[in-house]
Amino acid sequence: MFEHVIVGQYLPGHSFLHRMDARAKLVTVFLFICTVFMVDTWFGYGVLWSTAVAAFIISGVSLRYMRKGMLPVLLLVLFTFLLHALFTSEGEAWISVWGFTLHGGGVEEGLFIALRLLLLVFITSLLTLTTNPMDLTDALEQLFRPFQRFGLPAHDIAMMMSIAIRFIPTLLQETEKIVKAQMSRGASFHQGSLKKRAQAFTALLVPLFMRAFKRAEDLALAMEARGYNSGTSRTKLRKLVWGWRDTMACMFTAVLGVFLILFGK
Amino acid sequence: MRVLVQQLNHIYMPKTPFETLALRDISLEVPDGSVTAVIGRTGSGKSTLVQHLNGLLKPTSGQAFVGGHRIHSKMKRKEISALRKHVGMVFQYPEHQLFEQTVEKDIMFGPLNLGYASTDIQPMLPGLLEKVGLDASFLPRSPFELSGGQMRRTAIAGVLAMEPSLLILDEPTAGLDPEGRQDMIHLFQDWQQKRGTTIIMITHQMEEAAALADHVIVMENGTIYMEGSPEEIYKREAELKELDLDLPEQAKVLKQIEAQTGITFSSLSLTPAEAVEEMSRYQPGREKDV
Repeated sequence: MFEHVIVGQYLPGHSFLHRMDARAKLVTVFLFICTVFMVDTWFGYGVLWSTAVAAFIISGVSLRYMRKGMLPVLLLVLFTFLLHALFTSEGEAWISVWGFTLHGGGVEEGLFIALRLLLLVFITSLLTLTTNPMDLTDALEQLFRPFQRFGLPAHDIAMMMSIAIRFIPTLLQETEKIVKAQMSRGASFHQGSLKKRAQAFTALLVPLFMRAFKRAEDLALAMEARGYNSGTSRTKLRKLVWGWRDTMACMFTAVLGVFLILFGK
Repeated sequence: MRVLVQQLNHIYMPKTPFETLALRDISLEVPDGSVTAVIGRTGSGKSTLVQHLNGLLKPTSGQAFVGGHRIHSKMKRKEISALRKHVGMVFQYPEHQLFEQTVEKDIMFGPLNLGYASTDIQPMLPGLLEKVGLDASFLPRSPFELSGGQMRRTAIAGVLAMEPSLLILDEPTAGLDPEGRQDMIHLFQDWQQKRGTTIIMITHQMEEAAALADHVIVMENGTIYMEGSPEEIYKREAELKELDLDLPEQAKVLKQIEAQTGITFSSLSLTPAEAVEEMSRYQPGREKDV
């Protein structure tokens, strides 16, 4: 039933991107996104898109998964494009329909924004597709650690994130089971009157919440029983290892960014 | 209701890296009014198989018949809802499906969905609750304030209230203590004998298969590994061991007696009293040391 939901989208693999340190990937993506926001020339976008596509090819992720990740935002991108194309009155006027005038400058700006949005989604999808969610939270925790002195509870945030990620599949399983049980009792989620459907969803949500609370309670108890304490400094079971790949990727992105910002104008 | 499964295959998550062949070429027959136990280790395809029988899963290829309903890969929603009217399903930990404010409302959820009038169902409820080992005083209570065992009974009553002609049980005794297990088995035995309902039960417990079933299906790796009467299955102890399955306690005891005394019992599913009688027919001189 939920077999097509890819949690955290992560697809195991052995490519260059898969083997990169999660921290390095986060830094790289961060630098890349900064560059995306600074660049506003066709040349700049050409370079950035080619880099992104090259990274995608290196990752070995199949196009199907990338498309699946991109589809939901496509509508938003289209909407933004139209908004910019129709309401920017720069450049020469091309055509005019129903009181809207399409300006060359507007279309160009719309295209820029659309390309920018798509690039953002593309590169972050690539990050989540090639990075184990648990590594990602570990990396976030370490990258946020310097901010701990300003009162940011980096460890707690990472812990909450990893618990949330860990329980997504469990909750999905639970949902599937309850949906099946209620469908066996004649509940219809897809057909029938609105009232019947609403009732079917109550029959799903109430047990789901009951179970989720129960699980949370059990987990809290289990953590406490094992002496979990967020204050003390903890060691990690899985260590993130920074290697030559990581330094290289960060350097490359930084140089690319500087180059584009300086000479891309 | 007679169940007939023909060359059924099921593939999970087709066309993804996670594609798995969950059922391959399953064919079986369950006569009307019989009790069939499906056993096998976790992941052997038991749940996948039975979920086809009320249309929760559609076969990738092959077909199944439940009564007059044909289950196939292109089943329409209407056909599926018609099928579900006749097939009741008790999932593992059925108490997780409770959601209403009162036991009464929760039990009535199924029958109401099937289109029965509440005035028709209400008079049946006290009798039904008694059958599952509760009583009418539970009706106005919230299901969430009951004990685990009572919750499970309520949930089972909710399925039985739909009066299915085929009842599918997915490990109905999981997580119960030995006494609770016994009660549960008796409950279904009793229901089956009074109504003649066809039952298909998934279990890990050989004892339960032995106690209830006329026919046992052993699954392994998405296929039917062996099937036959409980008696026939026990004889293949070595093969069962390989599948991490164990003989029922009582059969093990009888085997032990056979090994130590040289007696051969007529069957391994004898009750203790029958076993004693068979033993006493043996001449004391022929026994070595009991």
